[in-house]
Amino acid sequence: MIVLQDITKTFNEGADNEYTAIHGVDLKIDADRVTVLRGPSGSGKTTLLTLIGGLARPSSGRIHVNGREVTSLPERFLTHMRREVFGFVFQSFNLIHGLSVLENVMIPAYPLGGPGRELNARAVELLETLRIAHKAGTEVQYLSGGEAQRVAIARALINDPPILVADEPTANLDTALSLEFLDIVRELRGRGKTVVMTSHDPMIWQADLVDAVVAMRDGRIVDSGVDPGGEGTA
Amino acid sequence: MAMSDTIGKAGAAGVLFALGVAGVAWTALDVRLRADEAAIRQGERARLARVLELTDLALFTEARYTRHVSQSDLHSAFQDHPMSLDHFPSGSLIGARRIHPGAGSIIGEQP
Amino acid sequence: MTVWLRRQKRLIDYTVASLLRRAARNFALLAVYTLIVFVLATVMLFTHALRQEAMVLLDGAPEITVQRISMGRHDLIPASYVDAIADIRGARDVRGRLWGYFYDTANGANYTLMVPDGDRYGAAPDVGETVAGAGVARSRGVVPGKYLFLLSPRAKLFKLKLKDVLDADSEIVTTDLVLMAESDFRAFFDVAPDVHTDIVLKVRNPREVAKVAEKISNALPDCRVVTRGDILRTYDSVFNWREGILLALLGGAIFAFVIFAWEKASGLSAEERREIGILKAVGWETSDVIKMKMWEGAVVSLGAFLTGYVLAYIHVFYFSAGLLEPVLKGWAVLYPRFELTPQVDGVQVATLLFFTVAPYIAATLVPIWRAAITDPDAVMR
Repeated sequence: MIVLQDITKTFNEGADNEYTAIHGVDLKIDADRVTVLRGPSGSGKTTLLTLIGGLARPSSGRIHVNGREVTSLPERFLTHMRREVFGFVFQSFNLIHGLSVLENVMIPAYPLGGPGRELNARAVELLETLRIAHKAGTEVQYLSGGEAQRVAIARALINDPPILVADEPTANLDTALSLEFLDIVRELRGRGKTVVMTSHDPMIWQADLVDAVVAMRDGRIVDSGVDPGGEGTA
Repeated sequence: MAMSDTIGKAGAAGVLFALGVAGVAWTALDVRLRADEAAIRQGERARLARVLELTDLALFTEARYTRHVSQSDLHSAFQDHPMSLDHFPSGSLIGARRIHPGAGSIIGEQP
Repeated sequence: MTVWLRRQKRLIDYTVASLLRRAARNFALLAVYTLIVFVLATVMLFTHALRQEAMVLLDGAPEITVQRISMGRHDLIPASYVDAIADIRGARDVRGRLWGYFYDTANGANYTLMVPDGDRYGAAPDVGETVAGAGVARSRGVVPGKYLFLLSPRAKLFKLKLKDVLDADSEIVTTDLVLMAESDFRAFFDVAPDVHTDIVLKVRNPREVAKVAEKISNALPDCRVVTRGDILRTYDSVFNWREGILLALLGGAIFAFVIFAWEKASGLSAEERREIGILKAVGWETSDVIKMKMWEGAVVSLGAFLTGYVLAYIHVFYFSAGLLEPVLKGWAVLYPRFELTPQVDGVQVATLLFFTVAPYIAATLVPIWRAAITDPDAVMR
């Protein structure tokens, strides 16, 4: 479970262009559930996601992940969290061009120094699960949007993190591919993963597998725990 | 075990690195292997240089002061004027003749 | 330990993969870098070996040479000076030498014409004969038994029978020599019988060389004295790094390194920064990024060093530094063919290693502080 208490995020603090993206947000995200942060662009949902995922620190407030207060942890521990607790799928996928699909998937595991064969096998298995194994040797810049996303998901899962964080996962996908993505999320949920994502795509937050939708506007939560699908409650 | 890992890119880099180190080791070995024969030939050269009373290497035959660096007077590098540039390329390769201080070797050169 | 090793292996994997991404650019970089190491190592190995060669070969040079200086130039030295020097205590085997330069209009080469000391050199040519250096015989296409024709400065044609060619292995000291009998030499240059080119002598007690040299200077104030020590010192400092082309080479190399460093330091492009952001976002520590960059520097610079150095060794000791020949030859027509005795000085190699590898790795690490301050959330923006 992730608990956010009175979270504020201000950029360029003290400068002329100071601007507050998140205003005193309180939020609970249940484990083993799919939570969607929805809202128009500029609503602060992506910023909130970076705070949840430990990519940035809030200006004030506290975040607890699985009962542990993480906002005051040193950078080293945040790195560990990013590596072992969270898996990230970025809106623009952020694959490293010039490297193969397989290499991209293995990158988060490199600093762990596990046995090479095992890592290789795990990566291939993930790619097979995501039906992209046939592209393992392809350099990522030659992939289509849907393929790139599946590679990004494989990379996010390589260290088997309990929480998957996705930013606008369907922004670059057509309807068919968006449905495929939802299938993947359903499978992950079935395997007991917590999924947190942002989206302004109704197809996502109206999907029946979504457990909670948090609506945001202007850096504030305007509606939390909406349950459109009726399947479980927040 | 690291050894059981597939060779991979790091392995390939390691092999190339080992080759390079082996190359450097080979140069050291080559010096030793060729030393004896080279010493004999060098000894023969030295003998000839001694009996002919040679004072310089015949590396630069283009000008007096480069052919006999040790025998040239200090000013011949400048030919006519101390500020004039070297005309011969090898003149820019070699250092000025070193004067042995204290032996009076520059006496007689003063104007 | 194995985890540490495997981690480094992974980081090198990543580094190599990332270098291979811009393969053409990085290979060009490696090639230029290798070339710089190659040039520096060639010059280093060549000059070191040449200095050693000079030290060995010229160790038998006359202990003292006396030249007469007139109006700032060499002048012929009167035979009476021989007696004057012989009177000085400690001097022995005082002998007037005859040698001089000759410009051969037939092929544009300069020769050193010389009269050898028959007592020391057994194969000295008789009147009408000559023994020539291999370079002379080669450039004039003469073989023993045939004649070498030389047009004297007084436009008189001299016909000398080539008795023998000096051992080709000694070309580095003998390539341009034309040995001849004294009477031929004097007739050729029209030198009076009572003068010599210079005077050489030995010193009974080697520790008294400086003393004897001083006495000669005092007794013959118009003469300059060159000791064997002077000769060796001259060659010990030949190819001084501060001179002409060596400075240019060194300057070029330093300049190239500066460009490298600048390229590296400022080379943290938006793309690279994005990449570092991604790595940090997916769980790489800053120290992992730094290690990866260090490996990158090590792979490139050690690769360039090892390749450049080994190639330079082969170039100098198997191909007689052939690529330097045009530079060393200058305007000269005669250039000795020689094989240097292989010499490797560990300290020099270590110095070269340090000065070629260290700056590059340092330059690679310079932009790392920027990596350290790259926020992982940058990739989300």
